[in-house]
Amino acid sequence: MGAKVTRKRVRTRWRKHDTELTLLALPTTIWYILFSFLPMFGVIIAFKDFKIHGNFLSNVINSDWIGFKNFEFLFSSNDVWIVIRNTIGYNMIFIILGIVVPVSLALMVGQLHSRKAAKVYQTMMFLPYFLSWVVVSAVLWAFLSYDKGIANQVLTHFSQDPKNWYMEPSYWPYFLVFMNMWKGLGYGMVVYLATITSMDSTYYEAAVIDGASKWQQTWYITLPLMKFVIVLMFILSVGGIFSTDFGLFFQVPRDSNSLYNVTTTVDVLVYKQLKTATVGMASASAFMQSVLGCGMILLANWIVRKVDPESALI
Amino acid sequence: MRKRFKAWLNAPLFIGAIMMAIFGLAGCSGSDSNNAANNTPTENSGSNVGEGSGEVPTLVWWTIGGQVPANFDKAMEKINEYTAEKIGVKIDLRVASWGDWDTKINTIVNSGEAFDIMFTNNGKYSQQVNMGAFTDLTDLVPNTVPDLHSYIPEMVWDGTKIGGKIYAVPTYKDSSLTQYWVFDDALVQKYNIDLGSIKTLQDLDKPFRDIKAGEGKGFYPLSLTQGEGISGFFNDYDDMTLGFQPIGVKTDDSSRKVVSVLEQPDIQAKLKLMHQWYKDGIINPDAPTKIEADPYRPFFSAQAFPGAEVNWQISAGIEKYDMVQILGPIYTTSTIQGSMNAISANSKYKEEALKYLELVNTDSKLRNMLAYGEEGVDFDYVNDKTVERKTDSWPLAAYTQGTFFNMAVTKGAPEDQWDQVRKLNEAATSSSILGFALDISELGTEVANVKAVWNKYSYELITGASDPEKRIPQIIEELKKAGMDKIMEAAQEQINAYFKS
Repeated sequence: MGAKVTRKRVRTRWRKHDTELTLLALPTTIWYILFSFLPMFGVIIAFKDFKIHGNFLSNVINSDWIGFKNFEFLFSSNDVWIVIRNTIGYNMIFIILGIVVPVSLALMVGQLHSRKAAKVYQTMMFLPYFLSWVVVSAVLWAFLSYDKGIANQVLTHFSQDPKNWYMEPSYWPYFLVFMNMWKGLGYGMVVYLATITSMDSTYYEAAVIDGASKWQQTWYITLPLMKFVIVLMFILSVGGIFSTDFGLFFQVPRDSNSLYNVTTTVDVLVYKQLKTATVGMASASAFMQSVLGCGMILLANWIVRKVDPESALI
Repeated sequence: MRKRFKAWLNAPLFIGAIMMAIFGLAGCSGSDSNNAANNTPTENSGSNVGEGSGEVPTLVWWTIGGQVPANFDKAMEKINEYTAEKIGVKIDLRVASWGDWDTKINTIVNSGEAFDIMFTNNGKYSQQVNMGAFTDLTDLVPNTVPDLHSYIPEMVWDGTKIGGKIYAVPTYKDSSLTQYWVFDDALVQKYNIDLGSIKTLQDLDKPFRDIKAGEGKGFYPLSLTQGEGISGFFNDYDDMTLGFQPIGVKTDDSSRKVVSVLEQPDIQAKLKLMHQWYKDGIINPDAPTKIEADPYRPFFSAQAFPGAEVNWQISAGIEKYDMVQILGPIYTTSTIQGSMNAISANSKYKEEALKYLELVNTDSKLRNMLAYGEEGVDFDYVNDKTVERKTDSWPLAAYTQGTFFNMAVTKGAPEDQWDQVRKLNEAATSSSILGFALDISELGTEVANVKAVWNKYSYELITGASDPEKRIPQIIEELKKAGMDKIMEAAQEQINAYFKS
C-alpha cells in the first residue's frame, strides 16, 4: 500500500532529479534508435534478391521478394550444424564459466582486508580486456608458431617433436576457452565486486556475533544477496548465445583450415559469406541469429520465472 | 536488501535500459550490412558538385592503392587543373587500401553509395554486374569515345562482355597472362641451377632439394602463403570468370568440356608433389596460416612481363632475380578481366566518366601523372618516355588505371619494356573458351555453397599441407553435396549455346 502511494507521487511530479536522469539516458537512447532500431527495417534484405536500383533505400524497396530462398543457402550448407553446435557449445561453456569463475574470484577479492591489494589484483585481471583480439592473436602466434614459437622451443628442449599447433584441432577448444576467460575475467568481476562492496555491513556484524564462520557468511549472506545480479547477468548472456566474439573465433585461429570444425561460429560464417555470397544470404544468417537469440532470452526468462519469480526480468 | 533491488528494478530508466539492451542485441546483429548505409548521405555530395551550369563536374573514382602521401591533394589538384582544361572534368580520386579493397568495394556497391567510376576485377565483376551496379557501355563506347574504342583491340573488349554486353573499360596492358618462375640469382649460382631445363613443377624438385640440403633446416626454398599457394597453379584451366578453381575448362581443349579440376591426373600429380615437399621441409610449415608473404622469397611464381624484376629486387633487397617464363602468353576471359574500370549505373555523368577514361588511355601526360604522381616531387622526366621515381610513396596502382602503352618507363627497366609486353600480347594464344563468362544468376545458392566448401580446404591443399589422396575425395564429395554438378551442367550448357551461335 505504502509503495503504491510513493509511486504515484513520483509520476505526478517531474523533478530536477528526473531531468538529470533523462539527460543522462538521452545519448544512449539516441544511439540505440539510430544504430539499432532504424537499421532493423533492413532485415527485409534477407527476404529479397538484392539488386542495385539507385540509392540504398530504393535498392531495398525495389528488389524482388524471393521468400526464404536466402535461407536455403544457409541450411543447404553441409556445415550449418557444425557451426551451430560450435556457437552454442562454446557459449554454454562461456556462460557457465563466466559466472562461476568471476563470482568466486569476486568473493575472494571481496574478502581481502587490504583494499589496496584488492585494487591491484582487480586491475591486473582487468587489463587483458583492453587488448584487441588482433594483438592477442599475435601474442598467441609468438607462443604457438611452428618454427619460432615458445611452445615448440620448450618441446624440442625436452626432445619432443615440435607440434604444428594451428593444425591440431583437438587442442583448440581449450585454447579458445582459456583465451576467452583470460580476456573477459576482469570485466565480468566488476559488477559482482560492486555488488559485494555495496552490501550492508550490519548483516555481517550480526552474523559474526552469532558466531558465523567466513564460509557461512559467504554461503548464507553474500551469495543470496548476489543472486539477483547473477541471474540478471545469466539472462543477458543467454540472449547472446547465438552470437560469438568474432575476434576470438576468427583472428585468434588465423583462419586455419584444419581448425574449421572447432572454430567456425555463426559470426565467422556470416563474415565469410559477405566475402563470397550475396548480401541477402549474409543477412539471412544474421537474421536467424537474432531471432534465435531473442527466443533464447525469452526462454531463459521463462525458466527463471518458474524457478524464482522474483529474479525474472520480464 | 531485496527491497533495494526491487526499487532498482522499478526505476523506469533501468527497465528501459535493459529493454534497449535486449532489443539492441537483436537489432544490431540483424543488420550488419546496413550500418554502412547510415553513412552514405555525407558521401553523396561527390556527384552533385557540378550540377550548376558552366561548372566543371567532379567524378568520384574509387580505386585501389597504398597509403596516401602528404602531397596527394596537391598532385590531384594539378591533375584536375589539366583535365578541367582539356575535357572539362575533374576527379575526386578515392583510394581503398590493398587490404580493405575487397570489403570496402562490396560495401559501397551494396549500400548504393554514390560513385562514378570504380576499379573492378575478375573476382568481383560478374557479381557486381549481376547486381545491376554498372552501366551498360555497349552502345556508349563506339559512339561517345570512338578513339578509345579503336585503341583497345576487339578481343580485349570481348573479354569484358557479360551476356554479350560491355560493362567496363578494360585496361589494355599485359592483358594476356604470362606466368614466370622467379629465382634468387645468388642461389642459382651457388647451386648451379640450370634454368633452361626447368619447365614443369617436377623440374623444381632437384634444385629445391639441393638448396634445402645446402642452406639448412630453417631455410625453406618454397615459401608460400595461405591465400595463394604457388601463384598460377591452376592456370591450365580457364575458370570461366567464376573465381572458383575446382571447376574449369582446359585452355587448350577444343571440345570445351567443363571438368572437375581437382580430379584431373595432372593436377593431382602436382598436388602430390607439393605434399611431398611440405613433408620434406621444402615448403614452410606455417604456410596454411601464413597471411602475408615475406619481402624476400628465394623462389616464387608470378604473373609478369619483362622488366618486372626491377621492382621485386628493390623490395626484396637483393642483387638480382632471374625470371623463367613457364606459361603463356595466353588470353582468357579472366586475364582480361583482371583490371577494369566500370561506371556506376547511377552516375549522373556517364559520358563524362567515359571521356575521362578515354583521356587516361590516350594522353601520356595524364597517364604519367596518375601512375607516378607529382612531377618534380614524386618523379622527374629523364626524357619523354622515361621517368625517374624520386619517392616510392605514390600510392596509386598503375595497372588499375589504363593502358601501359602510353605510359613512361621507370628508369632501370628496359626502354622498350612496353613494346615487349605488346609483343607478348600479340603472340598470345587464346583459351578455347575466350569471351565466355559464366552467368551465375540462376546458380547463386550453389556457387556460394561450393565456394564455402573450397574455402574450408583450399589453404591446406594448395600449400601441400594436407595429403591430396585423402583430402581430394573428401572435398569432391562435399562439393557434390553443395551443388557442383549442377554448376558444371549449367556451365556446359551455356558454353555449348555460346559457341553454337
